[in-house]
Amino acid sequence: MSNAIAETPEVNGPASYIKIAEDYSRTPGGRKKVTGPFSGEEFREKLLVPHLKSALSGHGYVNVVLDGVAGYPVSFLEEAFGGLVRVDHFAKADLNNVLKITANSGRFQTYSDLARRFIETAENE
Amino acid sequence: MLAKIREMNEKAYKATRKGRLKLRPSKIKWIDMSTTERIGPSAALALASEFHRLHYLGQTSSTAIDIHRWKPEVIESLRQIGLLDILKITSKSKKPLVNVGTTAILPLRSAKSVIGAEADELNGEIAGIVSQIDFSDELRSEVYDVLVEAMDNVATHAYPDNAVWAFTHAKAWWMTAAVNADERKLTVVIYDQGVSIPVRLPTWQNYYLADRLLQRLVSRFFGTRYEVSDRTKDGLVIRTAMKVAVTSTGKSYHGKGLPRMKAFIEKCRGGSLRILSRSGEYRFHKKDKVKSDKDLSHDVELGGTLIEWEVSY
Repeated sequence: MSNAIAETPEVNGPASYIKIAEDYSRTPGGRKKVTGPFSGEEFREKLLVPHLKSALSGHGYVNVVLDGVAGYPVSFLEEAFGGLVRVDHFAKADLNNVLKITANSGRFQTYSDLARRFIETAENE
Repeated sequence: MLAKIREMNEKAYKATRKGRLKLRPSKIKWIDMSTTERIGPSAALALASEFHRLHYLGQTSSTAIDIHRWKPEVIESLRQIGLLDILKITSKSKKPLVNVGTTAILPLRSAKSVIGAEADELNGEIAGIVSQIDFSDELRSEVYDVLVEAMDNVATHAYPDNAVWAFTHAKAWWMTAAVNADERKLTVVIYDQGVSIPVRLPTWQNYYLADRLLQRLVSRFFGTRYEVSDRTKDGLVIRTAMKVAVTSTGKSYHGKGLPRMKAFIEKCRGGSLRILSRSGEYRFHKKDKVKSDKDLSHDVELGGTLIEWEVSY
């Protein structure tokens, strides 16, 4: 498996936005719901998966905007995005087609790259 | 071990360890710091956590003795971190009791779960001391990321249900930060009283990689096999855990936090990372473009894991 960071894919159709700072939390937490509020697992289950399923059943895509939060612990990012493959068994090809991860400022570009890498390197559990 | 934490002496550490054993109902509860010359933020945090733990357990506060004999610098550092409040020692003045240089220690924060807002508020307090230009958004994010990651490690790994404890634990973490304006250095510390990295390492999915490397090193340099119970190799174990976490890829997502702890320092102009866990210590240092690391094992056990980042700003 390649470790190269996937480019944010070209996606088409109407966008469904998830602005994490506004729609979820400005202070993302850790990996699992059981360890505290605003976890990556909760984000994936409550927001990301429903939006992605909706996009996959239609013709749109999901645009996750990372900007505006205090930061992203790696465990949050891995659980939220890597968990799509590991736990929810989304196909990487499907995610390439319907998931866009946006960082409008340079500070958040690193997180965007990391989230993409977690999807690329995740394997089904 | 705390004796090895900057500016705290061996006697103070032993008092801390004794204190943990004494901090039980119906036992004598006291703290005497009269023989301690100075105490830095990491040692102050570890010490304060011993007494703060009582609050979680619903027990009464301990007593400080011979305070008139404590060094003013020690009192001031402990006041700043909040230990005097925990001990219910009140001061009429909010001003510093003594000039302890330009180092300001922020009051400890503690919780039992992963609370991003705690790290964000600590950042806000740091920003109140360090100028906006010096405490950039990038640095704020780095501090936030490593602290919340460390909280996650504590909540997930530090207090396993099947562990045997010599004391009543609170399943909590404690953190603080200190700013030395003269030296333009920011120190961030997080501490837990859990089972430690050497004890938890065998539960990693990639432990076989660490074990293989450890057995090779221990056999080569000590002529024996490595056993988890061997505290004299704890420094080497932490260093190996870091190495394996950084270099291993694959499906295991365990241990991704450790490289992040180090990456924070690597991104900075200069700084250091110190991880003290059980009897071991791992140090990573960067100055300009020169990086170095080393491991140590101490005679005395810390009783948990303390992670300290010190960065130039």
